Amino acid sequence: MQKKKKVKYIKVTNDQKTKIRDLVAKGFVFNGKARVCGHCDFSCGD
Amino acid sequence: MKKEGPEKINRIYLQWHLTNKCNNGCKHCYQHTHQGEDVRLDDADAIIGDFLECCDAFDALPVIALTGGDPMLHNHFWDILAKVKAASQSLTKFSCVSILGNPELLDERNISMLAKFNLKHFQLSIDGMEKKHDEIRYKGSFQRTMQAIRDLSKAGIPVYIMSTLSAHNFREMFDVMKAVYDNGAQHWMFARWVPNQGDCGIPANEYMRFIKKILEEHLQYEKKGYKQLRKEPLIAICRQDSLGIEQGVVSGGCGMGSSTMTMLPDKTLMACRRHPGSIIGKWSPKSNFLYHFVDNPKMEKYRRVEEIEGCRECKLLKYCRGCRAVAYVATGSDFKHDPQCLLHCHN
Repeated sequence: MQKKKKVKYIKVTNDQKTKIRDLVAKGFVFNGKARVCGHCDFSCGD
Repeated sequence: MKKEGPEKINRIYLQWHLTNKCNNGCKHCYQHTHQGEDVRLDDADAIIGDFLECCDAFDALPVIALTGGDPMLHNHFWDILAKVKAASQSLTKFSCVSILGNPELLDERNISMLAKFNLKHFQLSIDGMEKKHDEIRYKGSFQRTMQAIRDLSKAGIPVYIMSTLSAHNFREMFDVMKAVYDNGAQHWMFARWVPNQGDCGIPANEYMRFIKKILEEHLQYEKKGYKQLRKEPLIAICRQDSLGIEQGVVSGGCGMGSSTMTMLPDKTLMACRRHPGSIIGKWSPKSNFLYHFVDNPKMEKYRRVEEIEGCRECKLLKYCRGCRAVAYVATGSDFKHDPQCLLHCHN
């Protein structure tokens, strides 16, 4: 799939990159494969 | 044919309230005014672009729900829907835009236009069988909504139904579930009413019995291919398959502090629309989605799930945590137990 060119609004700092990895590792980013969500849009896309 | 799934595993969800204007006046509504500014069309590109870039930073699929009020009452609803759709399509071919709305404007013309957007779903509300539902909304609302379920389904638009539960209507949910599925809904879910203070009035033991029984009946639908009943966090107590997905990792339950956020028409951000104390700030190009998701102290506070009384000792901590909005209005604290949780009562 061809991606369109995006306009960049934000800059991700190194500190934020570390925090993002930590949030993903701890499960605070919805995981579409988990299928045990309590949120209305958690497992809806599968 | 094998169903094609989304390209990305991670998801970030934005519930975007375009307007406070509403053609309903539900007794349980969290919105105390139908006035106020609408989302400005001029701001839409920057908001959408910023959200998608935030998702990109997480390598996550953007999931966007347009809502209100009734989002279709926004003067530029179709323009904003087109912008959201176009922007998300630049990242994924997966349908990740939904609408949480009302049935009043769903005439043949509008449904036909909506069908062109390949929506993930259109969500409507049913809060009881005809008499009870109409008491909460207005006379004729139940039949109007059922007609909309049939019309949307006929047009190929998946319909999700949300029921808001209180002591006055929860016993009718067995009939509601059957009625909405019989009329063509693809998914039914429920959440408890969050009043200004106190709780929804359902005794914990009765609510646990209700969840167990409604889940038993819903499993018959799931066997036929309907989506799993999950929205209410306390369902995790009754589901046999709640544990063991990823031990030690938050794998479900209340989304507070996780990758979900609500934006009101004036750009106020909330961790959860139903949690009245969860305003975390205002969006601006400098105070953007990434900042709020990653660095906002209030979001960091909501992620301290080990501090939740009654949940920290529970084996379902990573899967449930009760409803934080319900717990907050009942106790005034973000770290008290969910009043309808029977596991806590037994601890």
